[in-house]
Amino acid sequence: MPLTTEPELIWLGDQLSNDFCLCRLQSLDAEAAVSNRCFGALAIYKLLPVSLVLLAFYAIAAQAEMTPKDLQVATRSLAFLTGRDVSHLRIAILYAPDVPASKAEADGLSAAVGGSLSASRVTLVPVSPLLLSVGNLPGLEGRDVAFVTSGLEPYQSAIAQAAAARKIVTITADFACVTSGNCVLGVHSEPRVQLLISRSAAQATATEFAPGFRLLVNEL
Amino acid sequence: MNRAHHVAWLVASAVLAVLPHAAWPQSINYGEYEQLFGEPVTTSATGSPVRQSEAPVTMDIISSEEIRRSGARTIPELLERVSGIDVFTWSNTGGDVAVRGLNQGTSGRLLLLINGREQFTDALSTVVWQLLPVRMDEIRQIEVIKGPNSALYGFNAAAGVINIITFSPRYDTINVERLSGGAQGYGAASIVRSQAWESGGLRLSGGYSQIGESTYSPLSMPDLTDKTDPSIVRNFSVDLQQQFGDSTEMRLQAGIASASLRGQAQVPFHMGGLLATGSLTVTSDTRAGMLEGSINFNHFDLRDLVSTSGAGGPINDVTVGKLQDLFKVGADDTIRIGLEFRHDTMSTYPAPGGDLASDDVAVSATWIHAFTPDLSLLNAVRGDHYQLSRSGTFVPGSPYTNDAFDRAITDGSFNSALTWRPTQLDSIKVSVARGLQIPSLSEFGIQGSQTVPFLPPFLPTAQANFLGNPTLPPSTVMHYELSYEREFKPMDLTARIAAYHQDVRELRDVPPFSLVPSSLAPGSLTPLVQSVFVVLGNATIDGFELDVKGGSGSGWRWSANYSYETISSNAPVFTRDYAGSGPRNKANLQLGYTVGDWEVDGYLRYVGQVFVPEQVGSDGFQATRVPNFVQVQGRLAYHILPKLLIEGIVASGYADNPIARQQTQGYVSMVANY
Repeated sequence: MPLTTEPELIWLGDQLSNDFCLCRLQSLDAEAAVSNRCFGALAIYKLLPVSLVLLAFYAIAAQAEMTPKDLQVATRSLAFLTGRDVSHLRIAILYAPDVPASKAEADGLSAAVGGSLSASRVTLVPVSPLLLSVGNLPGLEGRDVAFVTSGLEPYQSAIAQAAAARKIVTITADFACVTSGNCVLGVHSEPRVQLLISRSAAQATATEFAPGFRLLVNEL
Repeated sequence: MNRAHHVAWLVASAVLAVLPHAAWPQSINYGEYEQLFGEPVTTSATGSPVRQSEAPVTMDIISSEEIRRSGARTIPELLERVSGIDVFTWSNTGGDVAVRGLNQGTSGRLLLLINGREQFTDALSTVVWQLLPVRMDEIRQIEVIKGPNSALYGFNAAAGVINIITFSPRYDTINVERLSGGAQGYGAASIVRSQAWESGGLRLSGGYSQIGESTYSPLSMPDLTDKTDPSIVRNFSVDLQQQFGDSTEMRLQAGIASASLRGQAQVPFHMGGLLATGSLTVTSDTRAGMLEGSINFNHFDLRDLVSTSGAGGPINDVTVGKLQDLFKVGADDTIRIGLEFRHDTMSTYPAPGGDLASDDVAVSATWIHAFTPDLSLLNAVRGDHYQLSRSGTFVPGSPYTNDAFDRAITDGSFNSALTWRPTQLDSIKVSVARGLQIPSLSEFGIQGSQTVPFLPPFLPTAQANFLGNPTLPPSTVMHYELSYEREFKPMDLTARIAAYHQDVRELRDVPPFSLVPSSLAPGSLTPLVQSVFVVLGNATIDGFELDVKGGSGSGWRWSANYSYETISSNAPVFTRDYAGSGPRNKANLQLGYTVGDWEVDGYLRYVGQVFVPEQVGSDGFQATRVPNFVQVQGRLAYHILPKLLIEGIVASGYADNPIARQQTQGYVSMVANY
């Protein structure tokens, strides 16, 4: 989908029972995504809470590619897993070979992980093959954590099932995967750290986070 | 005391009886969370852990790095650089601190906590900063909450809360040795040592400091230099943290501090004081949530107190037991339920013979609802039932009996706040709160009697009684606030503006002595004059604060703030001048630079004029104008070795009150940090 630099207002008044405006946010920059122009349009509508919910998720979904800094934050977050040995977490990176952005993100993550990646009390240990194609989900066997790259929407449901069967924590920068209940943890580090947990996905994968941590993050 | 101990056992038993469930250490690992989120985490704002940027109150957090580079030797010195904070520096080692106006001698509207445990001196209704059992080198962060937070903390959080968070003995290894010396006979030595093991840790700290006092010239009494010059502060503390099983953790903290100091209540005083404190906190993750039970005991021995009202101070014992459950309901709702019991005793002073006691039972609840990830609403309520009692004798002529002190107060407080983040870099907070300030045991029951000149030569002297008043009501504070905060990422800059309005009711003070007519009965040679605490009026406070904080990757760090405040009050001026107690304008600028092994820091502070009543005779007060002033401070530090630093600090003199004047100061420290 082509990305524009300006938020685009789309009127859906004829399609919905109540007139309201969706501020469709197509900017890479989450800050610009809620510009004054967008606020002005939203403010005049009656369904402000609904608009805010949508606005929030559009805003946090604007960036979908996991950066090395996101990876650091994700690794630190895993320190708050309970009931798992976080000092040795075997990981995989899921990607779609036919989606260039996904492959590029997977390569970037692979490079960032290197031989292993440690932060806080957590060590991520790559298991060969580190990069797993979405066509090879049985290859997740023996992994503790799977990073889900962007552009995998058609495969997210299958990934969720495979992860649930193997109790694998799925992590992504694509918040849509979390909001749909297919990924456990969404991570963004810019412009500020945001962590989003899907409780249903966490339950399906037997993932438990420390209570204090859950109080500090957003849950769905 | 038996009742207090009984409650303590109940609290501890209740916590330990709960079945552990989840496998996780319960205490908040501040360092780990700060690294994760890139900002400090606090529990002071709501009782639940929250990121500073998401706290539904206006708060500042002074980090350990900021403390280290501040050159400050006392916590009030650090706080006076925070927007909205006023300080009266009566002594080289401390003073009175107020949040957003109405500062006074023995300022009672601010609650001080160390790791959540109360260090407020109920008997004097103030914080005696010199008696804090903590060293600057063991502080992780100082959390400053502006505005009432009685719904979470109770009576004394009427205008603000300061929570000093020390490093965790379990998660943070801190070993610091510091040796200092400088002008005015200043000398100090302190040590902080910690040892951690797999499931716990221990930290010990202690120190000694002395400094010659600055100019101290109350009009009404001589300077008792033999008692408080030099001013000496000693303290020692222990902090033990231990995890039991998978889900229960205990923290035992104990400390002792003693100090000699000068200060100002309604009248100037000199004091030697001692605090012995201990607390036990047990935290457990259970199916019912994060349960926390704690028992805290403070023993203040302030008997060595001398003022124009006489010699003798109180012994004040405070026992506080708390039980709290914190849990999440679904994805969007966080609930905290709290139960608190408080037992407080005080011997009367300066005239002994009476013993006052109070018991307070409080129930509180907090509900935080997240409408969206970026829009949340906080509601907190608390109800207190306070029971006062007294036994013992009265000074001759007192109109009271012990039955007059058999009195109950039931009242409530609340906090509501809406926090909205329209973008990830902006936040808007709207809040309203009702705070309560119960009269201190001194205000209820102080008693003193002395002989004063009257009408020579026929009735040359009179007996002057000054007394507390058991019928005093609590002061109430209604607070409204709007704040906006914005991060400017490319410049690593954060800016905040906060505007507030506050209505304070039932302000208290001591009026001049008045003749008790019945004491002039025929044949009486000694008439009686009396002064009793009374409610005098109300105050309205309006203000705003601007804060900007920034840094860069090239070694620069800076911050600036400006506070504007107006106070109007219908209370007449006796020993307090409420309307004139706060500067209308106040500003701070801090600039720091690091290059190689060198650190340079500079501070500039401006404080507008205030009016402070000063005692000019046995029963005479005048509102003395304290002119505006500018203070500068510089710090230069050099790392001799990576873990060995030498620093020099120079600060200009100033006077923020009419009694004590801080002289130009300079000192050098050698700090080993490993």
